[in-house]
Amino acid sequence: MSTSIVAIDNVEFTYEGRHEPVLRGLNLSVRQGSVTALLGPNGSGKTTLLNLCLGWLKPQAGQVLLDGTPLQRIPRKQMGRTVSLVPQDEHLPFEYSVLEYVLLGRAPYLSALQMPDDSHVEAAHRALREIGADRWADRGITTLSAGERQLVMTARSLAQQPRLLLMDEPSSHLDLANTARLLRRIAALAHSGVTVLLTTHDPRVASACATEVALMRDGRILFDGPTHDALTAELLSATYGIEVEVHAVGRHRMVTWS
Amino acid sequence: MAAFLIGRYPRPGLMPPRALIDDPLALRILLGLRLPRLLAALLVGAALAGSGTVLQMLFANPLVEPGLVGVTQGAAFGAALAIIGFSAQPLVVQLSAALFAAAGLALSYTVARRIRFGGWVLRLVLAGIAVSAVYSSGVGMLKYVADPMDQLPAITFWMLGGLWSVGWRELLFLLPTVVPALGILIAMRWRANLLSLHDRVAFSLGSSPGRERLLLITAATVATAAVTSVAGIVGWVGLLIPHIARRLFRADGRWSIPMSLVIGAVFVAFCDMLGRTLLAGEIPLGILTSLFGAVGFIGLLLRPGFRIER
Repeated sequence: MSTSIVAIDNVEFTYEGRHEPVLRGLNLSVRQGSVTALLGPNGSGKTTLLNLCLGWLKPQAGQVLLDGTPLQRIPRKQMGRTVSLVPQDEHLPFEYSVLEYVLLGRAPYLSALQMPDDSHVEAAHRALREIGADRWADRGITTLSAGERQLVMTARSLAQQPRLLLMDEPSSHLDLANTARLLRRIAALAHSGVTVLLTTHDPRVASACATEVALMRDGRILFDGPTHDALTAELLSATYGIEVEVHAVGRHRMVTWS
Repeated sequence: MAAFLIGRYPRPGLMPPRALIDDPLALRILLGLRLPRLLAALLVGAALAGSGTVLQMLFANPLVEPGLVGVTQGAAFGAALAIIGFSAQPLVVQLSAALFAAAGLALSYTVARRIRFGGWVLRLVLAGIAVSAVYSSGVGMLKYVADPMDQLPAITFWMLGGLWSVGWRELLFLLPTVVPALGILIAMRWRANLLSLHDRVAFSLGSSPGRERLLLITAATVATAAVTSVAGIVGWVGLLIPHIARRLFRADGRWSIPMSLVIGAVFVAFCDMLGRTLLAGEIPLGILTSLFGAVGFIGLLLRPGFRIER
């Protein structure tokens, strides 16, 4: 039986200065080695939940456990070696090369005063190769398109060699080919034992790569379970608040609406 | 070496090597005046440029310079206060400038912590601008009440920046603060790359961005406060040199931080040499660094391929 890597236990969260809670008594267990998609409309609390799993935000009630330990008790460096984040986009003010940027993924393995050595450079190259972006190694990061940058951010996270990869809308800037490449890479990561927790508002992304889906609306989980059980017309209609139809195309699900 | 030998004694231009043997005064001028002044110029340039590079990285903003967090105006206020209250005694002026510069950072940090909106960088920048403005009005007030015959010119001259009063004593005042501070900036040169990312991403990479940024900002501020207390306001070094270092070498802190220290040191030593040799009277250092800095910055802005995002 698979164990959970992340357990979110009755979590409540409200941003400072706001009255409406973003998450309301939310419970979720993320299975080790799974690809779990947090699927829901804009503002349903997906990114907030991701930030709670990262330890970046602290819940006002409830707790988030990583391997059974509350996040706040885990040392920062150990967290960096275990959990990685691929943000939706990132402002990069300086012209780092792609390799220099991906090399930052090795930070959890170095002290504040250490410089990366050849083994770290090789790890960065390996991460770039895994994502099919090694040919960009010497390019300036600010010359990349948004989609290319999203792939490079993923490579930076892979260089971190995490056990839990948090991805915030990982394919939002990608074209069809790069989306397919990334989603295949995500599935391969899960096969190699990495757990992926990603947010998306696109059921097609969840259908293409997730083994499990958690449907979110108004700060609550409406349903969580295997992807084929979650992507039904009834559940998706309830999640998005519009009538949708779900069509099976091979092992994928196509969602249409009227 | 050129800055060491060029001056106005025994005549304008390069001091002939023979004078070092024949003229005891020449040797005293070299060792007692020019050498500490040259070393101070190198230290001032390295401190301002290194601090500028690191602060630009920490604030993820290539238009930031050390004066942003209330340090420069704090030093100006401290110096003006000492000129009026303590008859412009050099050591008191330096200590007061350093004290109020450090207080500028502390105040900016305290205000930033109490702002209830925005990210950490935005809050510190806003607080720094406000604290600088308070100090600036304080300097205006002190200038207003200053004796126009001696105190007002002294304040004005101090604010123009210069190393004419620097000897071995002033250099020794700088060393214990500036050298360790620059040591921290150099030691954390790769880590600074990480801290130029968004806080949340730096956090996800296992760092404690708030704590690490505070350490680097403190080191950059201490270095800036110390050199400003001795040299007055030496503008544009902390803004321009980081751009040149990144352009000539790489944006990666492993190159840009040490190289900005070197380029900044050479730039300020060169400006100081010009300032004390071009005319019979000395041209304040801050005027020359601002002139060359601003012209150089315009040149950079107009170069193809140069861009500042955001």
